Amino acid sequence: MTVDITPDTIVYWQAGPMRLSATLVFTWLVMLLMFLGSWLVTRRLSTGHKLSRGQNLLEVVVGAIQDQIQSVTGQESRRYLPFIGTLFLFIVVSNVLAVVPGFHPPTGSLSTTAALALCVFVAVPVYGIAEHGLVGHLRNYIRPSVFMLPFNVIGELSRTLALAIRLFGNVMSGTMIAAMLLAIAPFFFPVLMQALGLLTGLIQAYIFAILALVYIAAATRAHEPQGPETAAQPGTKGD
Amino acid sequence: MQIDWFTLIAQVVNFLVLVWLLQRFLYGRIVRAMDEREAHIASRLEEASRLRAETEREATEYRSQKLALEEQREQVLLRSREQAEAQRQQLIDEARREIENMREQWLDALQQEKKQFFQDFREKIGQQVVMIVRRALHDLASVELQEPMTNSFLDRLEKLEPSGRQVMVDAIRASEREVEIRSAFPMNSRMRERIIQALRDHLDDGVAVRFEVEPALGCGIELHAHAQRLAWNLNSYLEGLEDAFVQELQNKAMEHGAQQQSNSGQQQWTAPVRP
Repeated sequence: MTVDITPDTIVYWQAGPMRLSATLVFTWLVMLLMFLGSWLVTRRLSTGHKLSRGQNLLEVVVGAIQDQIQSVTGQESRRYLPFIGTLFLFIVVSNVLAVVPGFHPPTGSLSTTAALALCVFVAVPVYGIAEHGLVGHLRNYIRPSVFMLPFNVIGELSRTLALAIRLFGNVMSGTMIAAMLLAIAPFFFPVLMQALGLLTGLIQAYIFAILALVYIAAATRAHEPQGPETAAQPGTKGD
Repeated sequence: MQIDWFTLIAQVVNFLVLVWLLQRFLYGRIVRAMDEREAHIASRLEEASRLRAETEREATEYRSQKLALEEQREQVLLRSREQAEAQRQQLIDEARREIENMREQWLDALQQEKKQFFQDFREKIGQQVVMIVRRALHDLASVELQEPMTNSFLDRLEKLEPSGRQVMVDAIRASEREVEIRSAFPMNSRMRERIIQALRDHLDDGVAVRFEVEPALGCGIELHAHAQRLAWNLNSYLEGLEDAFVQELQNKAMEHGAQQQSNSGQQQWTAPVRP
């Protein structure tokens, strides 16, 4: 029995270091779906009382994301919406599509999750510097005292690593469990595990987005760090 | 399990592209639509609250107007009732006056009619009485009665005033000394002689006399000369009798009418007078 742990191993085309793996292909597929869905719905938007179903759905989703951002950061949601919203939606769509036979979710690849974590890793100082300036942001690393600098740096790196590993592990394990159960007991159990996988995928997307949001919010609200940090606790406990 | 660095970088790029795409085609548009709708709803709500305030103000105004109208209506009704009552009273008074006038006119007419009736009645009675007397005398008249009548005529001729006598003489002369004696019955020769003799004695000694019979004359004798007439007959008496009789009856009737009018004036409303 051979199980593809990660879609990175499925390579369709290779030229030197450039490898067209299933990860990339399915990422593009997800991107295409999301783009097409958005474009189809938003090309004819209504501002009146009558809404199309698609617009209603997208408004509910975007509104919910905005509410979450608002409640977690306590700040205006507009500046975080594109980044956090895209993280969440990409992970959700990838994870949900995992139930489709033959689909390899890109989030099951450590390269993808690492790329997303890397984006978060970069976005935190970008938002922080945009909010407080370079000096103001760097000063966060020596709070509450200069001795905390190494721990803060280590914390910054480790949480990025944890972000990547957490998502990868959950998605990869879900896919593997489904594959293994399909081999052992082809009836009923795989369906249950697929349903469980849907739930896990949603939760993981939520956790990833919320954690990214918390890290960014911690950087932008540096003077009162206890709020975001405590808010992050329930999310990290789940996995 | 390892990280493929090319895939990692590609995924970073992919993610950034996706962020841009979604920002371009999803968040921007959706958020803008939501904002527009919110603004629309807010404006609608504001409009609704403004309209509501306006409606309440108008409702208050209408209520006050309604109250004022009702009050005005009550006043108009009251005034109309008073006017109607006054008009009714006026009409009743007018009708009473009119009825009173009509009643008085009717009473006057009745009185007049009564008077006229009595007048006619009296005249009729007088005429009847005179006619009866006349007929009785006419029936009684005869040749034998002719003589006393002739005597009376001759007596009258004798006792004629000088002025009257002169008038008769002038008339006889104007008629070429011919006179006409009319009587209801033919006269005998003796009476004719007496008359001729009396005329010649008292009026003109050369007078010629012509005797005519006039049955309509009833009782009496008439002398006609030119335009003058000397007569003795019952008609003159009877006419005087009729006049006196009618006069007397009228006096009595007027006394009776005055008495009755005073009686009827006292009973004006209790018992209407019947003819």
